Amino acid sequence: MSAKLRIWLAYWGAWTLMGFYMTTMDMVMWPKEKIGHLVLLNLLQNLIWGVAGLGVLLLARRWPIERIAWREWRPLLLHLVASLLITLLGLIVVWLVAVGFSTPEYRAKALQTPLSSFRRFFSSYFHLNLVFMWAVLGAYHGLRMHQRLKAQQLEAAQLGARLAQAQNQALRMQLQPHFLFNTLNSISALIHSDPESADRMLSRLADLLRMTLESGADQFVTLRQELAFSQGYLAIERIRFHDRLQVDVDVPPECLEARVPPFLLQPLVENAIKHGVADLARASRIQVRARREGEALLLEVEDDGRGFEQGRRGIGTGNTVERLQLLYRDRQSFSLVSESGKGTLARIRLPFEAGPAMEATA
Amino acid sequence: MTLKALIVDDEPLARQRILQMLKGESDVAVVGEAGNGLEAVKLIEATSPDLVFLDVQMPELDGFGVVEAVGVERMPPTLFVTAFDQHAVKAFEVHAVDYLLKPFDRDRFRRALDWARAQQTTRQGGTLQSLVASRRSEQPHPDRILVKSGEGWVLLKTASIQWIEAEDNYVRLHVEGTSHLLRQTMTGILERLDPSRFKRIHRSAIVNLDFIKELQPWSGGDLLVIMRDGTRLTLSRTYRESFTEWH
Repeated sequence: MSAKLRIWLAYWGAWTLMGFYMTTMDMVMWPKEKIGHLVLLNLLQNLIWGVAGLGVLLLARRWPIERIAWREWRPLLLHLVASLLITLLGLIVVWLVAVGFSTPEYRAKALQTPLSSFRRFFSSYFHLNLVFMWAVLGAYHGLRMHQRLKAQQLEAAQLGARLAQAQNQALRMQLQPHFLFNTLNSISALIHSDPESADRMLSRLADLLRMTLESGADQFVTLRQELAFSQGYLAIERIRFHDRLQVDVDVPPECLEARVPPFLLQPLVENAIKHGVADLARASRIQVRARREGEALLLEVEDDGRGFEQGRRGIGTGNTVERLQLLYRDRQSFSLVSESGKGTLARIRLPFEAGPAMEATA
Repeated sequence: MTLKALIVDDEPLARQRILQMLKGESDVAVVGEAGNGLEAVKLIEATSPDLVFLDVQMPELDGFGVVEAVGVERMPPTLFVTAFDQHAVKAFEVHAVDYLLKPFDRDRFRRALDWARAQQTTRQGGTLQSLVASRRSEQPHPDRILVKSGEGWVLLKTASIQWIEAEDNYVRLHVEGTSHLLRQTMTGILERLDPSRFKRIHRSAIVNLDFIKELQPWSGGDLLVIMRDGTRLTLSRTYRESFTEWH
């Protein structure tokens, strides 16, 4: 509301100031005229040009110029023709007002030969006012671009924040005291009984920590990279829980190079471990699946754990939903289906895009 | 004298680690290993060990739950083991109970074991009692409780308890068509249950609100509580106040 009001105040304020400025021009041209009369006339004229400018704005709002290019000549032509017509129309009104305001002798003369009177008026004012209309058009597009840029910046900042949050979360999970200390304890046991496995577990843990610390500000990684992370994590959990955890990963090769946001699967995998294995005394199974369905990439993480009550979801998935919305808007979907005692299925659908090097399609 | 030791941890490698450490101790013989709380309780009953290595974090029934199920006075000297639990560690410190933080080395393990050996002569019953009590104040309403059922044990989801009946020195828990006897007072069991779900309606009855079908006026200001399975109980005037939010 206030932003809109400010824009309107600026619009009419600009026309008012311009009116005063043009008064000074008139004062130079007709030094004998009363200043008050000139001010009034100019303000009235600029009120008319302001209204004419509204016509320009209306058209610009409906058919904005997206870019200056020959291919997109339609809006350019439209605004050129429209600004000519609007200026002409405005000029006629302004001329009528000027005639109305002038001395009786002048008025009589102008009405006797209106065409030549208007032609004189036209030659002095048309070109200048046409430029004004273009200025209005330019100002509108400038403002529009500015707002768009601001919105984009805001969005980029939000996206960055989400990513940072996701990274943070992933880091916290590895450094989650339980995970970390229990893993170290397992390694401590393996050092004596099975040095090879101790080595393996230690290097998995190192991989995991390195991947989290190294992951830059990239908005996308390949599914292969994302899976490597989750599999590193699952490999450790499998050693820890031994016979209590079975992991199946089913990802066809064609999906491995697809782009996904980093740490997309991790919170889902961690939830599956948490509700599927860590809280249960019996053995459980976690399945990670990916497949391509036409233009969509489908990712699923399923556990056969104890499930959770509907309507309750962790911070991890809340963050996932927001990130997906920011990155893909309505071209994605996320669902979490859980049945108490039977397990949970998390399903993500997003556009299938190949390669991490490409820029995101907005 | 040889100490009979029981090792309780849900992670096989963590149990293995303690086994490795105990290999060098000639006066300790491992009589069993348990992978969860329920198994632990059974094994404590079956083998009556002199020492229990007890992991604090375990699924379903955690270390403190094991102590409660066995009963503090019957619980053998216990060495708590934890990966990370600031609250538990604080409680151990306060109650002068030694504990092991994972991972640990031989020196640390030996010191803890020495402490445990000393406990053989000075029973820790009182210490455990206050330790469990302080733990309960942090986490007052467990999801599950362990009850003895005939010769075995049953891990009950507290939410599935329909109603509770007083029986001399015991309470009878009615759950899905069967019932379990638990050595506990009405006040004692009520303290462990979620007050938003369980209400005392009579000197000798507690109900789970989720299982009530309807209330009907009864004589002398009492109300008749009809449960979903048809059981009829009395809500006596004395306890009606706790139900005010209900009508």
